[in-house]
Amino acid sequence: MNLGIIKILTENTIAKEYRNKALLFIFIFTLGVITLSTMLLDFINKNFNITEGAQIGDKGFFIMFLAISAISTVTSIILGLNCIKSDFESSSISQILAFPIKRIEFLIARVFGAWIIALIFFLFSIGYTILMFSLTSSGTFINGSLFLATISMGANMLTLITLSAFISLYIPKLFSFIILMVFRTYTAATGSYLMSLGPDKLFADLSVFKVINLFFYFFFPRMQEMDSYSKRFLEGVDFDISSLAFFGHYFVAFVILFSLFGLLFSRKEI
Amino acid sequence: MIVAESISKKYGKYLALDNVSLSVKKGEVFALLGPNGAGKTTFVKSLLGLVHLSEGKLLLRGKEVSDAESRVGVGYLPEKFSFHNYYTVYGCVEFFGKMNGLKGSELRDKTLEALDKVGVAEISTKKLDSISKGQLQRTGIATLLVSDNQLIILDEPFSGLDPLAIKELKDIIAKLASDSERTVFINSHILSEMEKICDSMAILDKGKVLVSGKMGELLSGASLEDYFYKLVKDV
Repeated sequence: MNLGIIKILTENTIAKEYRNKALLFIFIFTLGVITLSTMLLDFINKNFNITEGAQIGDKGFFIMFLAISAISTVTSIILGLNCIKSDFESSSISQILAFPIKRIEFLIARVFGAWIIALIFFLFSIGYTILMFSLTSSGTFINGSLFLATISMGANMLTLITLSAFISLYIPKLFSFIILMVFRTYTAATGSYLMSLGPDKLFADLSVFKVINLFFYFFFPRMQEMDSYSKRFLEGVDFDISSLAFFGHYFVAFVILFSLFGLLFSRKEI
Repeated sequence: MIVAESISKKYGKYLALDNVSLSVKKGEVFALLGPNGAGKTTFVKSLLGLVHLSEGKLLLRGKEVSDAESRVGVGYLPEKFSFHNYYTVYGCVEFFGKMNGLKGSELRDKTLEALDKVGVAEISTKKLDSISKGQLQRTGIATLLVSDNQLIILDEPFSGLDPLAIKELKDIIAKLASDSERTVFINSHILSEMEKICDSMAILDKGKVLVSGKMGELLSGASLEDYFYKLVKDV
């Protein structure tokens, strides 16, 4: 691995992506939503004589975290769709790949750079929320739970960016965006359903759709389950050693996804 | 520096390169000539590992082109140089310098030197989308000059340039070629410029090499234009 070139290309990705107009719009929109939500919370606290402000603040913060997570899903898809596609659109891909860089190194730099931007977006939004909520509530928001929830959200963002970058190579951006949103919702719904079945009923009554659902369930990182971990962490549930199997599966499935992406990209003709 | 042994490239049923063999020695200024659609760009893309060969062996700096290490010290200028538009002229050249391992004051000095050499130092703060086509192509050349590339690959470098820009570019290539350690590989269909600056050539048509060798020996007094016309017409 040529870490020097990966570092330069990662910086280049960050410089390229933070100018993304769609991202800028969503960022301003998010800050607006956070500000309005805080004002609403303040209004409720002051006008409805609620004395347990900390409790309301905590609940509000939990809801805001989920809202920011949902918005981060969209920003991750946008960043993923753009991070490699824009090199093709600007015709700079052939010049970049003419450097002594392996294609997998190029992918790592682009995906990692986009992920850093997505994380900054997420952390800034959370930081702003904490700041605003601390003005209207006496709750303490910065703790280990928030840290764990952010890590699990970060993992989902990385998966989504990888998946988006992959799909963007073959399908136009708008269609890719729609497909990914549908895919995210679909795998979330089927994932929740399969998770609720339990191991003994998982392979019972197999139909074509169930086989497809099981394929995604076993061979893709389970983003819905990771989301539920974020929520549980925020609700104060500690990291449990029994969760290691899930995190291990998530990690292996992500490595498989990324390797598949790398393999197909290395075969792609420019 | 470049060795192609019976290479072929198919796009579906279309044979873009058909059993091509040629070699380019260190220090040579080599022209790959041919009409449009002859397979010249496919050859260049194969050299850079951008497309994958269907058959044969292609070595760059003694290494298989599939090995990224083969591209160390190789500079490439595509037919129409373009890069991310948010870059300034300076930033773009600096990026290429960085990617070639330059740092700190050396990077700054070499960037300024390269910009100066191709006459774009005055527009160094302008963004790439606000400069003319000629200035953009010169910026592209500056990206080659910023680092000490031992092999320079130029894909249709004169395409779309006005006569003044062609003259300037020719002078720059001549300067690049004056370094006996540096190899210059030019892929072009504009013959008038090639005769004066190249030592060796190969003529490609419909994916096949028609001739390959020293420019003087092949032409034996004839003009390149006449030689090329006769050869391609006869085929």
